[in-house]
Amino acid sequence: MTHKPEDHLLTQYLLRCLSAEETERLDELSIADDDFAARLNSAENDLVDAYVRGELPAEESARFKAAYLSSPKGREKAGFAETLVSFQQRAVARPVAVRAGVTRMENRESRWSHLFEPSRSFKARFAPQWSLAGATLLLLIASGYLLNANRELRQQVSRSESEQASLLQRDQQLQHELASAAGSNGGNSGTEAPEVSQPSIDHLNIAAFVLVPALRGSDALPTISWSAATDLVVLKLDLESTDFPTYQVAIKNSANRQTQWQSGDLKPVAEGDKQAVSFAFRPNLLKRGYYLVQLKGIRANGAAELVSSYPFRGVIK
Amino acid sequence: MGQTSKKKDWTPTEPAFRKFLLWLDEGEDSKGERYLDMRKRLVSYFDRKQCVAADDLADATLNRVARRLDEEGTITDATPAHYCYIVAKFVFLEHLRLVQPEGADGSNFDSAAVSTSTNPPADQTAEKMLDCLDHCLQKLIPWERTLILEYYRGDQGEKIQRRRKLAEQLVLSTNALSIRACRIRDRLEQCVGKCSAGS
Repeated sequence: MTHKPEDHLLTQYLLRCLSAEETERLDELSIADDDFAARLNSAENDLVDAYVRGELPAEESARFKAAYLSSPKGREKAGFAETLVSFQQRAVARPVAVRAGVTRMENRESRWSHLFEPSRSFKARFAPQWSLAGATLLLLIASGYLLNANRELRQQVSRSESEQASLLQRDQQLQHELASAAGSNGGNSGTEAPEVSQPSIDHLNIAAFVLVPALRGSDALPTISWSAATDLVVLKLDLESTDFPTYQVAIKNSANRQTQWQSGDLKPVAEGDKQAVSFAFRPNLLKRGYYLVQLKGIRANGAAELVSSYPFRGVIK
Repeated sequence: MGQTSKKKDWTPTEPAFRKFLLWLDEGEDSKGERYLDMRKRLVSYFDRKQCVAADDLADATLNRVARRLDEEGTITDATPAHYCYIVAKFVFLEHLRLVQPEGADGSNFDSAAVSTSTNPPADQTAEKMLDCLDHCLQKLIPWERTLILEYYRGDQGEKIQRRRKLAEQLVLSTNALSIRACRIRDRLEQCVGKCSAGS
């Protein structure tokens, strides 16, 4: 396993090798920081697996025994890891065909042995599901294309209607101004100055960016910049998967995790073979600093699930 | 004393508990998932501190936070997760005072928990666990089953490559894949734990 600095720090934390000060700092993050808690959980599982497989160096193995096997929860975790490893090793070593009269153990291992055949590619392991879905996939693609085309046409019609209404309104306004100006040609100084209309969407200053999910161990932090003249910041989030009918996003301050802005329900939009969600917010909600866009998927029953995080650095030009 | 005892015995009413869940969710309805996740983090925290009754201490922490919210109406000086940490720290320090004699240096707390048993489970226990794992794997949907077995397969060297390949094939970032694998593993672990305790 690669030893990135952060992975090593998590391992040292779990093995109780850090200073009291550093331990307290990570104790706080383990409860208060969603991303850290998820990474810690993952690191813990890998550490327990490495111990069970005998992959830890002698010193770390001794520390693991002292730190983990001294607690009931730790022993439970190690027990489960042992069971999982044992299960996988037996299924690989002894694939046995299912037949009448086989022992319960052989029957259990044979059930999963097809997942561990070394010559079997990952796609072949998924073949049963794929072959079942293959016939309906073409139909779904065709239906999806037609639905998408229909939706795009509706959007175009809607945009045209909106532009037409805007032009009509502007026309009426000009007519009114002309009428007012004609009425005041006699020298009456009591006329009001013509009203200044709100800028239409075509005149808004928009800063648009695309964000991708944070990669574990990646140091690159995208920069979102805007100026005092920017009316809207539009962010597009590329989705890694399309498990949810709707999404919600929250922009949080990375330092104190306070929510600066939250969206309503967002529908994913197909772009080629991927999907994305877009949203816009007024940049005056944010100051220069580090932020996190938290993307949550909303299931049909309303339950929300954290999908991914998109950190960024906000800069005011 | 009576008031302290009353406070320790406090359990939230249904409205108070619902209010607590909503506060923990920070306005989004997670259907209790956030509560369960927070409880898990607290249990792990107390377990790392070598507290035997990690579950009880986690519940005591959440009860205390819920009570404060019920009494004050709102808590604004910290985010919900951060406030839970602050209360957990106090609960841990109180617990230390109860289990340690006065003047102890804090290095031998909860000595009942210290056990260096490294013996592997007995054969019968191991077989029972394997049966339970088999049973619990069947309860997963096929996609989850294949992911969990593939993600944790192999030794140290091949794991990284295998996971990277898995992430590419599932069109997920390695981070997203890791989160999913951990969630499935947590569910599997709970299922196996209940199964082996019950059978």
